[in-house]
Amino acid sequence: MNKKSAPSPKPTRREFLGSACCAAVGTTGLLSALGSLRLMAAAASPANGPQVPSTAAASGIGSDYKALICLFLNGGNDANNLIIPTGSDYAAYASARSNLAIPQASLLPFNPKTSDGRTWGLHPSVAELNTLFNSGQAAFLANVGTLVYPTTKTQYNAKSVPLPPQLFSHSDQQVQWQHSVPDKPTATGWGGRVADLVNNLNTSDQISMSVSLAGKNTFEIGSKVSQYSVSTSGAVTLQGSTSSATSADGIRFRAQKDIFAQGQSALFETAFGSASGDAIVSADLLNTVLAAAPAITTPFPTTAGTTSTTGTGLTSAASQLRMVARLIGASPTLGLKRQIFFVQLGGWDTHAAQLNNTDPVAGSHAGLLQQISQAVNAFYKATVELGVANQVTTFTASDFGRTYRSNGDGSDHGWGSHAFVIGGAVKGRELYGKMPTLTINGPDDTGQGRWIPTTSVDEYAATLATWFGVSATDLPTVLPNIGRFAKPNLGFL
Amino acid sequence: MLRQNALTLALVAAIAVLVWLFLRPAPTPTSLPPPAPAAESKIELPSAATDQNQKSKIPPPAPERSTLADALNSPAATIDDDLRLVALVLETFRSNFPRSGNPVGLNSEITATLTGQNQLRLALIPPDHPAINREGELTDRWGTPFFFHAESATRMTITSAGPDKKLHTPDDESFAP
Repeated sequence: MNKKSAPSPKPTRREFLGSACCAAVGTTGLLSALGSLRLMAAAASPANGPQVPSTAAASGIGSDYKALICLFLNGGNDANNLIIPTGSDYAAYASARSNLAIPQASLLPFNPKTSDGRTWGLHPSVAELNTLFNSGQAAFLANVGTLVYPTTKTQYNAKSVPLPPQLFSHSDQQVQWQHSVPDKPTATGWGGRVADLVNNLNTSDQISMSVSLAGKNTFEIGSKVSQYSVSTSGAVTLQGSTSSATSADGIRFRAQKDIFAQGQSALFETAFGSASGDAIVSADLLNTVLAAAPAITTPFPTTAGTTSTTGTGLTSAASQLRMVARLIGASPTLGLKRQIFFVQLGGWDTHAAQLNNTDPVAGSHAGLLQQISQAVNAFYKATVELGVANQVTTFTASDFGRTYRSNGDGSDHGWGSHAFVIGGAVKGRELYGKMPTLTINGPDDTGQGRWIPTTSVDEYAATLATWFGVSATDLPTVLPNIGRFAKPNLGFL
Repeated sequence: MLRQNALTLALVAAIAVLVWLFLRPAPTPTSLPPPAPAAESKIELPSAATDQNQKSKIPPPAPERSTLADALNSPAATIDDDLRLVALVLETFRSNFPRSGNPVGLNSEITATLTGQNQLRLALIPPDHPAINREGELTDRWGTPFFFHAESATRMTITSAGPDKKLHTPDDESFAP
């Protein structure tokens, strides 16, 4: 165990001089970086057009390519109704869940390779996911959640181990799931820290390897690699931007770009101009590359209940994942060997009206599960079409699970929850981790069926990061608390 | 030369004495004020076998009863007043625990924290407040537990089920500070 001396509240003269020197060097670096940005903006001036990296990999996606997709279920997925006990355990489930119980006869058969003696079924709305599971391309992870240390109910009640702060609070738990250092203030996400480590595998960083389809997120914040937001139709461009040579918008846009590219007397203005200019160049580049990328012909699900091969009328999850597939197709042209994506679907905070009163297998939760199931299935097929199914892994995350006991209408904020992983590299048809004892006030319950996680987010993330290329040595850089948990590799990849 | 050495020695000795005077620990009072006889007479000894150690375990004085939530569910107030009052209690709690944020958990857990089960034993709501039911939940003026929806460490939506006593119906009243 390493011992580190506590930092002195007052710096010594030597420390002060050292810090001052570092600050001076840091300022020099900042000035240098700003200068470089200016040069980049000039090089990428409108007259030169978008700079497409000239890479030999433009012919196709190499066997050394990998992508990781975080599918975040915003609001707290009630996974108690995703994997449902059957057989002799069903009666207790139906009693605890009362109006939320899914009829046993409607459940999809769910037979993992190994069993703890209990039997399970899947929600009837995830037929596509069940097909992927049965064919070995999907696996489930039981009762995973935020933890500071492995925690038992005795420890929870005695408050003898630190708990993640603000359990059961949406934004806090979303952030903790995405940075996985719940006991310390943390400025970066674990996806961002992974990107910082593997970005040197990419031959170009004109478009960041970390792309978000759902705006700014904690998961992809890195120290070196910035996240880049795109929409479901491509790069986000400045309002009114057009390449038209004659329209007023086009003339104004060219003037804007020229102004951004010019050096200004004030450092801040120059930096702003460079950043804005870079954003325009990046957007031009990405849209150009996407237009030339191989078309995705895999049908994706639409809101009308049909499918579309052109991307029109898609569900929210499908439209985001289709754009991810297109960006993966564009990766050789962008010079990217590693990509991390963030996709999000909201609406999972089902306190009320979780089920349709007249049809227990319908309702808001069933609709969301169906949307996810259909979208990830289409996305998996798109990766097959691109020839990268074994190199792309999609995983789910959510704020928290929900109470096992119904509140009469829906379910309330819980803690541990079940997740799933999809991809050709997944060791599928398996339920990893440990399912909780599904008993109100039982050994895993902190009240109302809020399960103490039996697997930590750290272990889940470490398994994904290891597959993505992070070494065992670097794992603590990505997940500083991983040493506290038993399984840095859960074995699903 | 000898005289110069003597002067130097005297100077060093004087400095040493001055340093000792400045750095010596503060003198402890030689006599403590006598214990208040009234307080002594109030302590009830559990049995004749009580030893000296027991005598030293005098409970700390009871904290002053908080009046912050006295008006909760008062006939003179409205449900809107009640919700704002509960929000004020939470805000006051946060100001005392700026690193922790709002209390977390179910209504009963949040109520337990607000009634003194916290590190400071700060009871912003007296444990015997009439708005607290047998299950330890803080209830609205119709006797239904308030619904606490934790959005973040500082933002909590508080909902009353309203006169029909059923959550998620049109007569619900919510307040999100």
